[in-house]
Amino acid sequence: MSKIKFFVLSFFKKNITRIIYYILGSKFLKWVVISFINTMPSFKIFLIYKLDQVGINFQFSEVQMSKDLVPKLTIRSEYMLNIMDSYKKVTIK
Amino acid sequence: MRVVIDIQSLQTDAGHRGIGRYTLNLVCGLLKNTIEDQFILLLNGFYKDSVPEIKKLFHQKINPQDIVTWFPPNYSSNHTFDKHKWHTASSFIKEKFIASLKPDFILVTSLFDEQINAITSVNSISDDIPTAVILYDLIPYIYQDIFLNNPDKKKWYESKIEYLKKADLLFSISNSSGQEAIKYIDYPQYKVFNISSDISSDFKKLNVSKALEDKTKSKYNLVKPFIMCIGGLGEHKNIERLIIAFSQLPLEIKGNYQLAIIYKITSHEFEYFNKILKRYHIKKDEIIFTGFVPDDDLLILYNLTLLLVVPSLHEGFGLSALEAMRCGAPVVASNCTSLPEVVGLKDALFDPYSTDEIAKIIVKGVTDGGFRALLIDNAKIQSIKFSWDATSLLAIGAMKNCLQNKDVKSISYQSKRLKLALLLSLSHLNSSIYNLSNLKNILIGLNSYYDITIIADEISFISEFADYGFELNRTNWFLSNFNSFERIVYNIDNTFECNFLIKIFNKIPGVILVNSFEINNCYTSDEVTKEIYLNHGYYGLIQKDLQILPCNLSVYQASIGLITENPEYLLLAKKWYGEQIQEKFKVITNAKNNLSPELVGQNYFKAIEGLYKFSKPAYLDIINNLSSAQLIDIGNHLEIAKSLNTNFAPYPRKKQILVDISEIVKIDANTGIQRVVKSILNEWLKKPVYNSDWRIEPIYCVSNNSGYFYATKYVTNFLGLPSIWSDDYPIDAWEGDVFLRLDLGFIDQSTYFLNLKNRGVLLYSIIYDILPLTIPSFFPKVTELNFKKWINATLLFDGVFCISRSVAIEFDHWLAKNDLNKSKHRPVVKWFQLGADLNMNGQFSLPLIESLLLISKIKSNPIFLVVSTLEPRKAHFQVLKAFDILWGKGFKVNLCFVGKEGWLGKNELSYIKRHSKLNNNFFWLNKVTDHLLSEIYMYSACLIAASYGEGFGLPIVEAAKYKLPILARNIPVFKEVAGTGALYFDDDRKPETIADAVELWLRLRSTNEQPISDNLNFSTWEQSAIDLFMKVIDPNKF
Repeated sequence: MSKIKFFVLSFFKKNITRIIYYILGSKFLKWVVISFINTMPSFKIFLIYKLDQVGINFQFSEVQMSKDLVPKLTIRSEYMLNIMDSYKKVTIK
Repeated sequence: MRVVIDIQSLQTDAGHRGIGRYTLNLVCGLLKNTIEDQFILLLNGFYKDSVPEIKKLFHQKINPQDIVTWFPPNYSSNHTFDKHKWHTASSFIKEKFIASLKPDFILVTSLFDEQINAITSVNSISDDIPTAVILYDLIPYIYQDIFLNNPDKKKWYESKIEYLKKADLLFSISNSSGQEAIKYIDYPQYKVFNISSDISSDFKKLNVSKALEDKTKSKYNLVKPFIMCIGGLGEHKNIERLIIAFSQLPLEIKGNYQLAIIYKITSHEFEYFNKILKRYHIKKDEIIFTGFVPDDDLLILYNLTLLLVVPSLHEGFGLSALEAMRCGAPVVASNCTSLPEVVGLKDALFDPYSTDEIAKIIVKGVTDGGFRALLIDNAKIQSIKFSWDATSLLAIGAMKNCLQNKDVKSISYQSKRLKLALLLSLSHLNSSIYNLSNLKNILIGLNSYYDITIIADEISFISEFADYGFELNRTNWFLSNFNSFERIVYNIDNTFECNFLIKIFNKIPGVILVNSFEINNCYTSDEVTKEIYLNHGYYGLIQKDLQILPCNLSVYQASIGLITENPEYLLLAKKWYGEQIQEKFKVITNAKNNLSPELVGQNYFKAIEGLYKFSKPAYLDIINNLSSAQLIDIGNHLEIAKSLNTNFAPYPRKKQILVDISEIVKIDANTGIQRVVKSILNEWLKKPVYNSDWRIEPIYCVSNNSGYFYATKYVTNFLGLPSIWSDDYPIDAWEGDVFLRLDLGFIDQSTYFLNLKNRGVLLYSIIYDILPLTIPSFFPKVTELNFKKWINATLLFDGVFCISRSVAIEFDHWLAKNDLNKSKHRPVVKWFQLGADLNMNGQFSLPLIESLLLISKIKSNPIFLVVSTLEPRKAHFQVLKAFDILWGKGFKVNLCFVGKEGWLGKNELSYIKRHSKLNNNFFWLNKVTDHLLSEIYMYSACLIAASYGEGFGLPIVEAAKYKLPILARNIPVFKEVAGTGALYFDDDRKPETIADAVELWLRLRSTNEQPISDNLNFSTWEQSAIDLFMKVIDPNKF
């Protein structure tokens, strides 16, 4: 695998370190695409520095976790919606 | 008789007007005057703030479970959806919700409510349940030019008139208003019942003191004896003619009396009336517009007035006339509509269209002593003819009569032949019960009742059915044409071939023919994991062999019903899913006994029809109706889905215990509270005793988002299980579920708590302590403020469980001090035993050798141990200063603080960090594992529990486990936990107090007389979890 996509949702040092080792430990890794989700700026700077040091190309994108990313319906409301969709699609008697 | 009374009128603007008062008094009368009938009061969940208020109004008058709330789809002005269509869709949901309460009768207290979210309708989708509507008047309909000149409003009012016409009974509040219905909307006379009206018992004759009289009159600028009139919106109140009539009064009367018009007048109306006053040369102090007058003042004014004039051209009843008569006031009134019924005296009536007549009767009323005496006598006699008891008894009687005269509806089967689809898969060649041979028999029998189409993907294996005249078709065809079938039946057995049938069934539910109890093989392994979670919760997922647990719940919940020929399957279904499932399960036992196809068919026909009639989920009918009426579209489908879900709980289902663990999901800092959270979760999620009748569901909330999510990701990680969903879902909650705030977090969810409470969810919270309220100086200001908000939200809860008796007593006192004892609602306060197990499996925080060196250094002298986070409340500074005194006196003792750095003051922290004896006789270990802490407990001489306030005192219990002697501050919670197992020192802030106590303790130890902690009772987490669980599921039992 030469390209891998990471979603980083991280606030704590322990997780950050673990993620860095995942990235740097992949010998075959040439490219990483990282989406930061509400990530601390200091970690981003640190990660750029490390990736640069080991010669891995990278591409970053920013994602702010918003309500849109959270499912709005409960499991059973989704079920209701499915049934409504089935009934809506068919010809009305 | 079981009657659902729609009391939405108490929640809308009408609630503050006459209609609201009528509803409240009538319902109280109904509840008071019958013991054999049951009343269910229906509220609209949209008006969420009013729900608890109204429940308080009926406190102790009705069983709390008999006040139910339904939730309409949310309507927002952003929706592109047509509001009339939205209202109709909401009416469908409301009527089905009412039907699900299985009433014999429905009583609608107000049909005409203009507020957009006030949903009212009568028999819009079915007329199975008789409905009575209270009619106050038809004034807007009669005076359409004035009241319905807006086309939109006219359309809305006419739609309500159509509903009114569908009512089985019309309860008019006067004979006159009943006649209006007969005259203006052709409503059948035999269905109209005048149940009359009454007023609040607050209106009565009083002895008003001179001081109160002066005070009240001066409040409304009344300086002379006064005549009064209650105004109101609309020309029919005839205020203008009254003013003109007043202008015509002789000068001596105008000069000696004032006219008070009681009315919440708008500035626009005030301007209008001012012009009239000028035109008729009326001085400003002759006629007084009082503005809004509260009931307390109105009562005084009725008692003080010389004469009440009711000049209305039209009234539904005429409350003000009766109110004034009850207060002993002389009353004259218009001879129109209902007023003659209320006043009951011909001489007291006048023609309201004639200002001369109005003026004449006013003059007579204030000057003619004989006439006034007649009016006062009449008031006494006439006013006792009205009573809420009589009104409510008339209503009950009319409803009972109606029921008796209505044809008894038994299970009447449809006369026309219905279309039935039976869905099969290839596996049914070999099914245990419903194999092709048995099916053939059943279908031949059913052919007498239904037009049958057999649906399968492989038509060839069922081709022989065509010979019997059955239609055959494929599933794709069915998916586009299922709506042409009135009955849908699935043949499901425990094979993967049925996976596609289950998928179709989930979209288009029907009746299931049950071949085998288990259906696990119908699912893929991923689906089985999800089904196990949905069926058995996390407890199911931790079982090693998932196949031993049935995965039937989703199918049971979605199905219209289940039919089998094996009675054992019903027993198994009841064992796993509770007695509720019986309602959906039909066992046909005689089908195999060589019965003729006719009898077999009849049995199956009865079973299918019975299930469709009695156990079909209500939401399916609603969706069908909405779909047929083309009321579902992109603008409203999400809100309708949510509303259907909220209003119609799935069944069968286990009730949920929703355990709020928000803080620990955000960050696990291993605080004392989080140790409690994890220990309780560990017990509750893993042991069968908690999971047999309940479903344990940890949940969490996030900032700036109202509502909770299932903590699926956190819990699967906590239990070492593979994840179930990619995202955590928002929670579902229905009546009977329990919300337990186990964690302590400060995200404000008070609005959502109200929402949960209105849905019938019981709210409970753990209270660890209330120290930010009792000793706020020890906490940062922000903690105190957050805690106050937190505790205020808690006051809405049904109960709290404190972690010690002392906290429970303290909280009880706090409630009493804050006057909450007087409130009709306050949370039940209980306490439970907290557990204490040290986790001995932890790792050393320091390398082993360093730990040993450290311990050997600490134990060079007797160690006095203090275990707690360093914060002002824990009194570390007082303890260290005490040891300074002891070291100064030459005592060879060591002091060891174990705990993280909290929010200790700068000076105190600096004193500790730079102490001359640090790492010599004084040690501070700010990061230790449970294992190292165990070692330190073992080698210590004595635990000092010095905290100024605690909720429990976990270190005392931990110390006792190691038989470590205890020196504790004399506060109630330490006395509760340690009892006689500790030596206590006074609760002050002087270092000398602790120094003296240590000296005393050392002296006692030298003679082996120090109190010992060996006999302290403490609970394990297992005991603690059981204790809390039992209290959560039935707090009143303990």
